[in-house]
Amino acid sequence: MMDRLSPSMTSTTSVTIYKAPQPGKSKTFLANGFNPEDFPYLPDQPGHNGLCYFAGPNDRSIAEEYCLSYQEGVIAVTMDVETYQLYFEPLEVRYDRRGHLGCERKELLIPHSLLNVLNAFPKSLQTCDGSTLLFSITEVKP
Amino acid sequence: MNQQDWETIQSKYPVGQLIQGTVIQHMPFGVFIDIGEAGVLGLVRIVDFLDEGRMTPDRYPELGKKIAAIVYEYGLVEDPQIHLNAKPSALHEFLVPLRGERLTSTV
Repeated sequence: MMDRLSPSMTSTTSVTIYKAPQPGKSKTFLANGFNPEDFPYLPDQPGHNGLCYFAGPNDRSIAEEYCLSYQEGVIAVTMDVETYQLYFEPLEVRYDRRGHLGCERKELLIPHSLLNVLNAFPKSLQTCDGSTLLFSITEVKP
Repeated sequence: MNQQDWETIQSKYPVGQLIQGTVIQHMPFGVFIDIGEAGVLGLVRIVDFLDEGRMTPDRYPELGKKIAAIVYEYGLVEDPQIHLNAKPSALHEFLVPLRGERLTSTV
């Protein structure tokens, strides 16, 4: 499994998903990856559903909007398209019907069980508009 | 809640409807609204308060405050939430539906 998910795996096609970290979270995510304790499951408390939210591959604009409030940049995680289709595409849900052209935008609701898959890929921290790379982690902890 | 009940709720609160509720919880990503439906919460995400500029949690309506917003999306049956738009443009469009081209495509 881990060999298959190795970030050194070459792929002609990649997919990038995006997350605007909440205030104070970007360093944690970059240093330690995305972990269950960051997304607690507390069924009696609204907003703690145990899911890690990402903007879909074509919908960086969602992360950009949150970034405007959070001011922590946008984390981009890039993976091969095969892995995306196998693990993450089934998690896509409609975020809204807006977007620049009035089309649907999608987000990913990633459960705890797939965070290790997510963490197997390189990630970078970019400015909200994506114009500047602030930090990049290409070596992933095994 | 099962899928059928969730669809019933969605029919009761269709996209574009103005609903009122009480702010019951602040979160970094938005505020939860009690809309008076057991097992269902309204959610105004932090990005859905302003048309322009930076929204921050310190500007959220106070807990216990009654607010109105426009239905524009639904969450999953596992976590049933009605997503609400509280942007001035959306509220204005509902309250004063001008003829001709719409300013927003939300509702």
